[in-house]
Amino acid sequence: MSTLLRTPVSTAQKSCPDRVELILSQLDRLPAPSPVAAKLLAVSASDDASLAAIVEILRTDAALSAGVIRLANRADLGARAAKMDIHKSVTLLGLRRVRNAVIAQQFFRILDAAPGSPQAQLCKQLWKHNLAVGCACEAIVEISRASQQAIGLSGGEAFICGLLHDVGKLALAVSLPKSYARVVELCKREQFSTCDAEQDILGVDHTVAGKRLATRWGLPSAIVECVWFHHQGFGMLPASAKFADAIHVVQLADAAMNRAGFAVPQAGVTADLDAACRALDVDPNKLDSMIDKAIQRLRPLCELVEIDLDLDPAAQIVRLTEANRELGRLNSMLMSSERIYSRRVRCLDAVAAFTGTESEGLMVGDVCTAAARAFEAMGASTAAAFVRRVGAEHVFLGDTKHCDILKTSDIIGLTPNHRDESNSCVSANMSQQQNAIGPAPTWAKVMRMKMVDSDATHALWLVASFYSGIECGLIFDMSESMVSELNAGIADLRMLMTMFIRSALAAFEHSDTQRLAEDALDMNRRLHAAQTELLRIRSLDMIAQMAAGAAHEVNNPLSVISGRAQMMHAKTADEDMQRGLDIIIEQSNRASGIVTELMRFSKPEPPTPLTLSLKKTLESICQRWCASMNQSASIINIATSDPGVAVFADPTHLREIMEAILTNAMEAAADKPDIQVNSHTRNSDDTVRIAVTDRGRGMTLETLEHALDPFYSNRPAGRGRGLGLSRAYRLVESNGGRLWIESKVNIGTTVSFELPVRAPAASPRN
Amino acid sequence: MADAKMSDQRQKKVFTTGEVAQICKVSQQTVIRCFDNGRLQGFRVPGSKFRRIPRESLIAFMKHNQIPMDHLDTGRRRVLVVDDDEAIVDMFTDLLERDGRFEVKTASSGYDAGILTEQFRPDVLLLDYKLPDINGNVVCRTIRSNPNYRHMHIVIISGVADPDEIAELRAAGADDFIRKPFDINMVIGRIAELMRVA
Repeated sequence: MSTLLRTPVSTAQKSCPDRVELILSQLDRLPAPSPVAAKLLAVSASDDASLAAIVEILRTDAALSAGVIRLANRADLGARAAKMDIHKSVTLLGLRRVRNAVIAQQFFRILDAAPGSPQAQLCKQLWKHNLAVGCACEAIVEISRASQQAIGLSGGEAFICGLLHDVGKLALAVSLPKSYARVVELCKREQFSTCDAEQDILGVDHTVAGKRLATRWGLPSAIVECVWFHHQGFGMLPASAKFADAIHVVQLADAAMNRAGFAVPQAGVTADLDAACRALDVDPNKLDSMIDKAIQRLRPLCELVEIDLDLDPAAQIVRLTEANRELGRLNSMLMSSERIYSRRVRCLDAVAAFTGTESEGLMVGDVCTAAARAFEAMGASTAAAFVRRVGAEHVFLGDTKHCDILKTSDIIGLTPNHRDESNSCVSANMSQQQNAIGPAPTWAKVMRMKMVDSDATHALWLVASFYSGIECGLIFDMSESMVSELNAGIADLRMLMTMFIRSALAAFEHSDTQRLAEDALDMNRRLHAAQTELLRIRSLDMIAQMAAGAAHEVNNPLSVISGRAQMMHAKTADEDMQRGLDIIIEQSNRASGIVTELMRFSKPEPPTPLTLSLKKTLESICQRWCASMNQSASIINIATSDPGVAVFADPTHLREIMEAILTNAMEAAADKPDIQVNSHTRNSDDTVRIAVTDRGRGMTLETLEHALDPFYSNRPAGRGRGLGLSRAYRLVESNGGRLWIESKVNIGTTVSFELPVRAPAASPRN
Repeated sequence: MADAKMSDQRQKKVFTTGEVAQICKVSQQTVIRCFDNGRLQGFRVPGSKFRRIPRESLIAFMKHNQIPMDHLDTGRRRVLVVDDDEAIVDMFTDLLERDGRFEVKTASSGYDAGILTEQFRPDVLLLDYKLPDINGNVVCRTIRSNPNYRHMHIVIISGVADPDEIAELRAAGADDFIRKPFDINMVIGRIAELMRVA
């Protein structure tokens, strides 16, 4: 017993005829159709059943009459307020509709699940399928008849055949709701045909169950055969089948309505529609109108049996078409948006790349390069950017090494006057905006431009913006479609151009700042030099002031000392006293001389230059100096490269200069002075160079460094005032020359100075 | 007595015709005639006919007519030494007074010098170039702008010998320039020379 229980259900079901019997006996318990239905079936064999006979039958069932009148009222849609009786209702609705509706309702009453039960929805769908197939059968018969096709079947019979062809499914679903739910699920899940699923789950399919029911109910043979054979393949009907036409009509209707969305349960396997058409010799092209007609008739029937006709294939098709159209529209919008967005992304990428390259020290040229690269990223095959200040000749270009479409000369040619005439609006913009500083850059659309270079004529594109006195432009090579896209998405272009022009402005500011900084540096350098010179002059001025003050203050007591000494000298006859007084007087004068020398150094007399014979002057100076120094003239050797050369200088100054240098030279080699004086003419700048070389002890680096400083002396303290060379230096300068010293320790020193050969060329006064 | 009288006359600013006749060794009538015909400048005492002759007019008259001035003054030349350095002033005073030909007065500022110039009427002004309150240039110009002092000699003495400044001083009216320190004999010689020219 337990083993029997454990046997797999499907096997047990298939191998258990008792179970099939049990199921079939379950069907037998379904109630028989009402007498009304039986009578109606009887009169519906022919399409020309009399109105009176139908009305008579309907009157026997009050509920049925009420239903028909309600249906008639609804069909009338309140056109007439008058109350309908059953006769009027049948007349209004038409005999055929009333008959079909009533039959359907009769069977619906029998094979319906209790409202709210799990199988209620399935039953409704099955009935909808049956009603749809019934309507379709009727429509097929009518179409065949219209085309003089001989089908041995009336419309009414065809409807009933169709209506009841799946009565087996209903019977099984109502009798065995849970099992049939599994059948439906299996069909859906495994794409089984309904019969296979029913066989698998129940051991009996709905054709068998339907035949059993139809036979028990005593339905006409045509209906029984339709119920029994409607799943037989075409040409596979048993010889015993007498109503092949009816079966074929049901098969065609079933296939057509299944395709139109009325298949229950929904299964993957559908009948071959074309084969069905061929079997009945029906034109497949007429199937659509047949389906439309069937659905039209289906609606009132569904209302009568209170089934929701939510599946309206025609409407669905219309809706589908509309949806398709809408979908197409959306799709094209999407595509256009995508194009816009992809362009915008390109543009944003370009801008990002552009701003990415931007940094503090970007020069205008770099900005141009970055802008050109950004434009290439936007789709230009080659691009070149230029910037210039409005009205300026100079044009800033980016790095154009791999962009030979642009040359500086071409850009200069892009002044408003030289632009292509087709760009007159660009030119107009330019002239209007030259001095305007608006809140945003003025800009132009991308324009075709012609640039004539030496070899050929390029047809390129130009876009230019003007802002705050600068003009930024891009010249590029791009397909015409991309250009029109650029012009369409002008905001993107504007963004890039704004970025370009702002960066250019920033770069200009940066370069201005840099130039300012350089200028400031230069000014600073000059200021420093001026300050140094000023310091020197001020220190000399201070010396002059000090010397002047000293001259006044020191000379007063010196005068008194000297004066008193002189007075005493005159009074006394004592020779010793007189000698002492002489020394006092002499030293007073010496002290005064020092002060005077200081004054002369700090405030030299302005030169009164004359053209002198250099050789003669030098010789005379040296001679006099030797005499004053008690030296032999032989210690100086004068060599003049050009004996006839002249020098333009103040003779007194020249003498003082030479004396200071000679004294210095003599003191450097006090033991054995050997002084060489060379003069050499430099024609390149009309100067004569005089070099005084001694073979003395030379100067150390430190001494050399300070040799020209006033009061610096290498001599032992108290043996010199250290003003000689310093004064010589100042005098040479004031005579328009320069002086410098070269020296090597223990080898000697050369003091050189240059003076002009002739008076400077025509000064304004001359 | 006569000396005292003469001494008085040295201090007088205004003379009567009688005094002028005495100084010039001419008769009073001659003096009156010269006054009346305008050769001797002077004025009449307001409310009377008495004639009076200012000192400057008298000196001009005597110089013009080459009348010796021995009776008008001492014959010693008046020298005003102006310097803010006391030692210098003292030395010049000693030097000039020892010489005997000069009558010396001293001042240590431009202000004092102005007062003394008016009172003492020096023949020679020995002027330090840089006085504490006034510049030598200004002194020269002020004196030269006054015709009463046209016979006065100005000698600038300075420790600073800037050629430009010397030229400027000469332009302003200085007669000579002596640089400190100096040879005393040279100074005396220059002063004497200036007197002789005058």
